[in-house]
Amino acid sequence: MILAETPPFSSHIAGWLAGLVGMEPNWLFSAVGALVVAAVILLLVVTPVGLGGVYLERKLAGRMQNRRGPNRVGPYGLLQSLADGVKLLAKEDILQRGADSPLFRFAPYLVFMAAFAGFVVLPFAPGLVAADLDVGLFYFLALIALETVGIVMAGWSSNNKWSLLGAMREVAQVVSYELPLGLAAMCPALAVGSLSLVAITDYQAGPIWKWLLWRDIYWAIAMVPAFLLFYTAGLAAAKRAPFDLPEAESELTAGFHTEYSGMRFGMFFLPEYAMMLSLSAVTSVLFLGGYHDPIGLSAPGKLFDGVWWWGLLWFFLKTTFLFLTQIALRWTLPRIRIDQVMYLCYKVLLPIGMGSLLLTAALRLLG
Amino acid sequence: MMALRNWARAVWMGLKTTWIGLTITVPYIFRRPYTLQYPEEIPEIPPTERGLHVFEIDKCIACDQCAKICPVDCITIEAEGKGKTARIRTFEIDYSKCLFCALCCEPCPTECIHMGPHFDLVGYTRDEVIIDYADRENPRVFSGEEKIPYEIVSFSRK
Repeated sequence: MILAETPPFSSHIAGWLAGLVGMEPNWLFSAVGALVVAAVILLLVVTPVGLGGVYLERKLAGRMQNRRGPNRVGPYGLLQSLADGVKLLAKEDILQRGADSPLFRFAPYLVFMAAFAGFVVLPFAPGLVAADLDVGLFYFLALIALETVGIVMAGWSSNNKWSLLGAMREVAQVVSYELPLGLAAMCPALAVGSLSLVAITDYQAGPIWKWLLWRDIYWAIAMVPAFLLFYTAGLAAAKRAPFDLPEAESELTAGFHTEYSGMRFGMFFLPEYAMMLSLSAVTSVLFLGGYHDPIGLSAPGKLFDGVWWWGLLWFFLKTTFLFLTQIALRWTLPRIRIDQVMYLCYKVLLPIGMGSLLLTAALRLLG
Repeated sequence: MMALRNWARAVWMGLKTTWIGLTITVPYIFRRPYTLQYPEEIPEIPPTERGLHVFEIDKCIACDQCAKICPVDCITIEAEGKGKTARIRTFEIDYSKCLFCALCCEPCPTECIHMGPHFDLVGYTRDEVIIDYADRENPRVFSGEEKIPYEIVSFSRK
């Protein structure tokens, strides 16, 4: 790992550990410190938020359809996700005849791993980042591709026509949408001159007009399309409606995870929400200032400069807002056909992405 | 140039229709849900509802009129005594047969059998949906001094 700068929380832990053993802090302790922070984030932040995301989605879906949504388990149905998790654990783990056993068993872990590994580079708050990689954005986009591999493994090894069709759609869709996603992500990276998510966030320190989305009027011309592009391509990469073709429950039963049951199914189910969440987080980092608040109180030298809970609050507000729009879109738009998905990608998003990138590059060149 | 203009219009329409869709669906989040929390909340039933029977046991003279007129023979009555002093021993209605036509209420000389507002009856076996209305513990059986706590519409011909 190439660390731009060891983040405070990790280095605290690294220093503490080194002191415990009685050695000078070196890269090994830094790595362990980063691992500890990543594990704590995964346990304390991501899993509850993922489960909460499932709850939120079901509740909002219910309300948008004039229903109440889950309200039986716990107050307001808050424990519904937990009950579902317990149910999934208790279910039988079925391996059907004709499946490619090792691949079939391994695929969910790969998807789970890929979706949750993205959280390692997310700057939740000033200093609260597991690993501030120089290539954080690139790492994140690479993990989206890695998840695809897991899904193809699942679909192909299932020995089921629905699974295979789902996997084929996944490849066609996600590999295509990586192009506009990458182009859109390149615009802020080019503007800032760094791929580190922390550097991109800190570039946007200050009041709301310092955000990359509308830094000044010329930039907005390039960045607003890039923002919409990143958001749309992110929806497609996370397999969310209207791009949920790989699982398309009304055509393909459950698509690539048709044959999965029990906790292995859960291993596909939770990463979907993790993916939504991390994509929302990256969108907010790239275009909406990440953990910086809109008033500018977290700018260097101001009242809340480097205060971690203030940053965490704004980070989660922005991420949750984008997350909610993703949910609202799912229950608003119908699923589009695979040819329309391809049309949208190659004939609409890609030209816009190229235009945005070109404009950003020109603006950068002109100063 | 024309193709480019059509493309731009298509992109614009895509964004616009998505926005219109959201303005329709999102306000529903803030509206009251229609769902009725059934076992806790009972829907409002009109008084003319022909639900499970309500029976006034002390009025019944065991004349067997209701059992005779029943088109599906779901009522079984056994009585003690004769004539107007007769009192029922069993008054069973088999709800696996009953078609809620209210014909049993029409000939009743004392107007002791009514169609009530209750609509839920479940059981694991067919025997469990045979209800004995001679049983005073049955919540739908009312004795002479009890007042029926809801409005009952008379189907009687008298």
